[in-house]
Amino acid sequence: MKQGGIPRPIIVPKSAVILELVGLALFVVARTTGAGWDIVVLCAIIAVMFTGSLLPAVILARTTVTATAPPDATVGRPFPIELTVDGRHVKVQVLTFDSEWLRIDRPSAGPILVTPTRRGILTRVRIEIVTAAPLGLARWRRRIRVTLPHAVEIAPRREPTRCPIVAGTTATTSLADATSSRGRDLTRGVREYVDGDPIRSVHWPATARTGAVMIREFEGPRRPHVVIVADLRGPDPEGVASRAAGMADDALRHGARVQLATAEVDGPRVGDVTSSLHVGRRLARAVVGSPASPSAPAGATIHHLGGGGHR
Amino acid sequence: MQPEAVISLRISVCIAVMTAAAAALIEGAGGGVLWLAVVAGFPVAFAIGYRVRETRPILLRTAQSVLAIAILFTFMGRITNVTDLGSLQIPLAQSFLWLLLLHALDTPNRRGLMVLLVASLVLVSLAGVLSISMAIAPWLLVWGFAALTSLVLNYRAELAELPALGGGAPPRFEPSSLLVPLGVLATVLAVGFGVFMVVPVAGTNRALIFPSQLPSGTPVRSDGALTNPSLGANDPNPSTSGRGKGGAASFGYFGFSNRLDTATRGRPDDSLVMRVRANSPDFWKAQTFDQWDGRVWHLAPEPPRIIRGDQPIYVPRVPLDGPTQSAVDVDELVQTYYLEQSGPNSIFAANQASRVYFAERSLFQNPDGTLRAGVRLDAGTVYTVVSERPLVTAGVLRASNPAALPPDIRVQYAQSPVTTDRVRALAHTNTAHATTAFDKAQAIEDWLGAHTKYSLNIPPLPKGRDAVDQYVFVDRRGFCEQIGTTLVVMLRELGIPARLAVGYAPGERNPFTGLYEVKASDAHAWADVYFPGVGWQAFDPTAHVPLAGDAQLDAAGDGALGYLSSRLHVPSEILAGISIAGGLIGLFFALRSMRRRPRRIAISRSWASTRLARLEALGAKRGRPRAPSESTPNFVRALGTLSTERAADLERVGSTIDAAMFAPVPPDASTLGAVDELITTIEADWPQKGHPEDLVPSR
Repeated sequence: MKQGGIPRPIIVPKSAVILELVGLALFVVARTTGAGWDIVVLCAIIAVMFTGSLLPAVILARTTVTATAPPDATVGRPFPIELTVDGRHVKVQVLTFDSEWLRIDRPSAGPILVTPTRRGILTRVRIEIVTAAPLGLARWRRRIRVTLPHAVEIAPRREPTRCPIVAGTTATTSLADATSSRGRDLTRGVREYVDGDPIRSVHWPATARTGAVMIREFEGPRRPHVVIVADLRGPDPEGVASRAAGMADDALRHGARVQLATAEVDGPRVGDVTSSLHVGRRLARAVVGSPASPSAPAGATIHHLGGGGHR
Repeated sequence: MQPEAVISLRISVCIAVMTAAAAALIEGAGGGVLWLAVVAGFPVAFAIGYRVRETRPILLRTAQSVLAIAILFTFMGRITNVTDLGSLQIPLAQSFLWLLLLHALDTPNRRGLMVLLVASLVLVSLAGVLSISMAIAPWLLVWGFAALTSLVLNYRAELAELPALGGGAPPRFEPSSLLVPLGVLATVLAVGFGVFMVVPVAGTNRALIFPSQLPSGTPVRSDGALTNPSLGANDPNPSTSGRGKGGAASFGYFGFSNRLDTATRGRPDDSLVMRVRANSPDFWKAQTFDQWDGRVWHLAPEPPRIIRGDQPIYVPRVPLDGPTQSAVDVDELVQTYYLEQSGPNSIFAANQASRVYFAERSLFQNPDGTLRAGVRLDAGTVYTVVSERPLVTAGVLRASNPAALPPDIRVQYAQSPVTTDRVRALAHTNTAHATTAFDKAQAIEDWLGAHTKYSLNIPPLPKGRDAVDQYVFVDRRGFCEQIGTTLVVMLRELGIPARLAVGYAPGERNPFTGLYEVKASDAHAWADVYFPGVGWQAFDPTAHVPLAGDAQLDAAGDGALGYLSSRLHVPSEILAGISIAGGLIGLFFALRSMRRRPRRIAISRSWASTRLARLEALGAKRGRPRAPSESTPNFVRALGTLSTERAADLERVGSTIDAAMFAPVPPDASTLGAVDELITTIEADWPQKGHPEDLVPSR
């Protein structure tokens, strides 16, 4: 696999400097005493320096790195990037996230934990590999951009934000749904009993009046509808995204229907979000721009975050 | 820095230090107790250093300090009477070795070990200064390998301090790991040989150390007389001990005597007579003959005079050297002679010796300016001569003014010689068109080159025959004595001062030691020609020694291939090929052991990757491969449709793999073990035939 990045020398270790000084001393000694063997040793030192300086570059040029990562991540939370490094005696780090250094003794694969500091869509990572192998006399580095097989959507950090819920329109539900709503339902009407109706749903007054077992018919709970507009054009777009995520999560926790209005690379977008993961993904894609202006449905609460502030 | 626990690194550093110390001791840096210290002391010290790497007991450190001070005082005591820098070498080396031994006791970390490695390099350099032969070469190779291994292991130990990708302990030392330093060594040898071909030769122009050594110091029976035990019964001045009364040694040259009979045929062998450290080749002259009787050369009858001095002994000019030259620049050629066999007591020197570093405080100077020792010069004798060579070129010699010839020299060296008329006529005929002494000498050389052959196999000189006449008109074959004598006789006939000099040709330069190796067969005779305003210059059509002004500083490796070729009896082209091929093979091995996918070592994949691969194998078996972009949960769900009774198990396996790959906190070992068992069970029950309609990968 052909990967970019040209090996570059970065540091001459102390041992190399010492070797160079000894070489210089040898030259002086040989020139003043005529010691031919010291010239031989000097040539060997030059050859060692030459070989030891170039081999790391060759090793780096032959090293390949591939990376995979989970599709979702959150700012501030470590997530693993699975690296496969075909190389030996190098050390590697994910430069994009300034991760810790890991050593590679032999071609190997494994996770390296990184912690994203900002949200967004991560399609490739910058990997730095460094080696001074085999002699440790000159350190070279190579920086490679590795494209991930699929993008990582890095959600914003959740900033706990309460979402003021305003009751919206009534939504009719099925009987089964209604019966599972644990007493928060309203009785819409009564009908005659049919097999299978729960006994706790018998409407006793109507039964008494009509003489037939009458069953209450419920209507579902009033499900609030929240529209959150995340406008990242202000001075603190990350903070706005964090608050929007926190607010959306809170709304979802309270059973509200949540719509997110954001600006994406392709333009303004508004749409339902159904889970915390979904919220994160939407906000990961959000960019600084004019968010969609949702036509407020009846009964929906619209929360504007960012731009001119929380309204 | 953490205490270093890698034993292989300690062993390789120990070997490097021991090898370097042994090389220094072999070259004369010490013996006896120091050998014991090297052979037994270093391993013990390294072992102790390893044992106490974390504790570093105070008692040990105190003892180290006390011993270090003791070593310092011993050193100071030994150098109290040292007068020159050269005499410091050995005490310094010995003290250094003891200090290294102490330091080996306290090497808790890699830095300490690397200090020892650098110290071993210093020891190797010292051995290089002391060495004048190839005996050090194997030690250097072993040291080089151990040092490279140490560097490789040191870097790996540094890397091992980091956590590994995919987990796992640092790899243990395996013998196959030695392929890396071996390959690097081969590459270094090849690259180093290339560097050797271009770096300047080791010089002695600014020499600080002038070695001199006299192993026996047996005085010559009569002061200033020439003695040459290598001539056996022909020794002109055999010693009282009786040595030299036997047969002539095979390396003996009859020219190192009071007379040189050109009718005598000798053939010195190729045994090594001496080594000469000098940064330029020259004739190593022993003495000159000035009196010729048509067959035999004789020394001047005047006795030598004694010259005294300390270090150095300054050599005065004699009348026959001519007046001091000021018109021509001179350079100093420092020559150190290391005698390998007993030979004449002549002090060899390039023209013109100005001072001598000799173990005795007196020398004898012949009327021609050449020098003799008052003692026998046996094997092991070392002395240094500094010569002031006029930097002459052909142009300078042509510009010499013949009218300025000193009368003493004209009388002694430019009188008409004993020879035949046809030789005299030939001398004039050959030089008819030459105008300067230099061109005349060249013209005679050219004629000799064109009309005679160099040969060591020449017939005996008939009794009563003139040696020069026999050579140029009858035999037309001869060697240095015939050629040199002819040149001297013809030049004298032309009124140009000349004399026959004997000594050694420069010999073959050993590019590794930087020394000229002079064999008995390099014994030589040549013509010394006097040029007014310049001095005596050697002329010889058979030995190619450049004029001092034309000599150039060569690269250190000049002639290295030829030298190795002659020693190993392998053509130099093949040696060059072997060198390049060795380097490439070494590079190949070094890189191969660091290749991406070693043949025998599988990629160490993480638990999740390998388990997913097993599931992929199950899918492939049923013709349902995993799509490249398919996630693990989707894939196991698809597999569940192929084996509904295992769908739940597959779901669990899939979620665990997913968690192992991506969860911030991976599943614990017991979970992984349980899933492993589950996969094994699934594999055992996995149906062999599937339904073609189910086998399309989901996209």
